[in-house]
Amino acid sequence: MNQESTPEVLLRRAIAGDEDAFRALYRQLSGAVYRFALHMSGNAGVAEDVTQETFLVLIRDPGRYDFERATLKAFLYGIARNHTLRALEKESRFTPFSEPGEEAHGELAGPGITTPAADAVDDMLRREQIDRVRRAVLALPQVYREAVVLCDLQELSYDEAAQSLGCAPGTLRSRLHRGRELLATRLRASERTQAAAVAALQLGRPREEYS
Amino acid sequence: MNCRDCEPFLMEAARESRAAGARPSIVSRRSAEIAAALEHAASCVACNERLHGERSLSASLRGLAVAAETREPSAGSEAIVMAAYRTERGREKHARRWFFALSGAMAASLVMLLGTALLLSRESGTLVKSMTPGLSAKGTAALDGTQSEAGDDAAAMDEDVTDFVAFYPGADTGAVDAGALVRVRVPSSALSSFGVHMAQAGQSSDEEWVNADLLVGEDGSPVAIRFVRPAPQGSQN
Repeated sequence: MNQESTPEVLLRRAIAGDEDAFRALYRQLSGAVYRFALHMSGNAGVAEDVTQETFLVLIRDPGRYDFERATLKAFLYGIARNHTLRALEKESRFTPFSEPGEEAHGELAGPGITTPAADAVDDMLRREQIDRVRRAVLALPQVYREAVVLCDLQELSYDEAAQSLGCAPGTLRSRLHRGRELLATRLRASERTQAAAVAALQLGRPREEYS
Repeated sequence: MNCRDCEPFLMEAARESRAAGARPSIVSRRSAEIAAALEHAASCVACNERLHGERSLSASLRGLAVAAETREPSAGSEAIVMAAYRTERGREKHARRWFFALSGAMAASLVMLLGTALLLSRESGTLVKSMTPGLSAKGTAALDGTQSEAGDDAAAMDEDVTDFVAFYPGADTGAVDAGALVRVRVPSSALSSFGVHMAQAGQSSDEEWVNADLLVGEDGSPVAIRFVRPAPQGSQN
């Protein structure tokens, strides 16, 4: 990315009325904002709405962004985070309780890929594993989830992630540490459950054959 | 480095190895501590196991991140956002146009106001001079007994003036030391209201309107009035 096309430069041009600059800015950052909202909510509809809302804030009130204080990306993640939490709160009020992200099952497992039969099992296992990680991330408490999503999935630096969340880098690091611990525990539990299910299935099969 | 010191850096080590060759932004700067932690983990079973767990978790998360890499908002979203941008720009342009128009109008008003004030101040500079008591051109009953330049001005204007008469009962004409004189035309019937006889004012009874100087105080309220008539031809010079 050259100096001319950094998000901050594009924003300055967009504020001055350059529509192409705003389009370039949107194309540069909307994917990251969308994926952040998707990882946080597990719902493509929410992620779509959050992405739009985030950029609408930038359009209506660009003065809210302080060029000296944080990167534009961190600022947008901060807005997206607030909108996502609001959307999730609204959803929890109107939808029956279920495992977080259950309704969005498989949304992040990636597009279906047609593979030769030999790779099909690998692909299925890979998708299964991704789906398990996705559900474990969604089940994390919000403060740990946002730390894991920003640092490990969106690959932000500690400083940028801390700017987005409005906390100190040290706080972020400890949240990330705790979040990863919880995640590892959940994944281990999930793996054990899956192993038990497979074992039960294998034990049940001979009985069916002889009945 | 012992196990306790090593623990915080195992996560960093796992994340660093995950990020190697990917994004330099997430590579920790604390590489010396991480190197020491890795060295310890190599010789400690518990820490080595923990490091393995962290690496495995990082790999799982990386898998999720890669799977989501292609996910983008729909084209419809872009269209909505761009439409909002255009609308907002249009509104801003409109508001800016109004702002400039309003600013221009205000500036013009201000210039006019200043011009008027300047003209008035020039005029009132002359009038204020003539407002001081003792305004009678002929030295008749000056309010404070002094002859003013304005009186001379009035004389120069070939006018005869009466004494100042209080505009309303109890008005203290002597207390006025700043203000303005305003030339007005009043019905001749007003003379009697102020206790001035037609003859005293030099008016003939058939004249319907007479000139008068209204002495206006600083607060804008009239304080006194005097009646003016053109000087008779023979009295000039």
